[in-house]
Amino acid sequence: MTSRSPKKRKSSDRADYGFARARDLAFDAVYSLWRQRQEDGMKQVDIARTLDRSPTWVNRSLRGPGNWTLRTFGELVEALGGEIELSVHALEEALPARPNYHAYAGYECGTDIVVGSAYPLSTVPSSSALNGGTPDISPVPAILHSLTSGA
Amino acid sequence: MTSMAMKDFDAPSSAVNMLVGKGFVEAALTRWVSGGLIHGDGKRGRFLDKLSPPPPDIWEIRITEPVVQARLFCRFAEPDTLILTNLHTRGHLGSKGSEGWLKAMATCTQCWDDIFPGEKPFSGTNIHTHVTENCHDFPIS
Repeated sequence: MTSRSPKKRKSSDRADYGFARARDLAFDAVYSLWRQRQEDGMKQVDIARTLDRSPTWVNRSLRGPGNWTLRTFGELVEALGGEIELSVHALEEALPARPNYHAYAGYECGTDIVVGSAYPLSTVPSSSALNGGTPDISPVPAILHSLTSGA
Repeated sequence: MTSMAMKDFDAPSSAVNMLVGKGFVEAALTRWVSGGLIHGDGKRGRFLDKLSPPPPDIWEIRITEPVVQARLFCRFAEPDTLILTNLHTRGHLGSKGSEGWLKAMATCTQCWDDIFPGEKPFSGTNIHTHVTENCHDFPIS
């Protein structure tokens, strides 16, 4: 690794990053469904039986994604009775933000305007209104108003 | 991130970048910053875990999947706000309670005191007081 040129190292870093992000997101999604199924009474042995895998394999796979392949991902989703929805968007395309949220909510004093929004805090429309539904001006909870107005 | 952590994160020749890979560290940071799932087994956190004191209220972000693992030392300034102070390869730290761990935890404390003199880190009673969203339940030491 020490003999790699800076350019090659940078490429390797990006590859590692992409791999780690994909692996983590896949594991998180499966693990969340596993927790839900556990609450419903499912056990690891049920997964093992469904997939004709050893309980050890199931236990190891649900502890971390270290040895995962796409096949592991698909098998576990199937055994957990899940359905995969994949979405990949261009990095420059911003994800939709909640209309009444910004990073400094609760820290500001002396203003009742949501930063980055054209709406006074007291008249922030609900998401249904912004999405084309019937305008629905929701009152802001008193605690939020007092935080932002410095009261 | 403290300047020390940033330096190790940026320097191509830092131990973590050489042995673990910057991409894996960056992915772990992205996971935290973007609100990725924080989960654990019945005993401890898998991605984020509180270290046994003393010193108190030091946490680690655990990068466990590459062959050479890493640990990112941090403290909570407030719920959902982590201050990352220093990062090390897992091998450098040695076994739990060893000199390597103690030194790394002392470095974390020193960095914190340099940035926030006189201020204590946030200390909650359970994981949900530290991480308020997208977090499963697991015990903290």
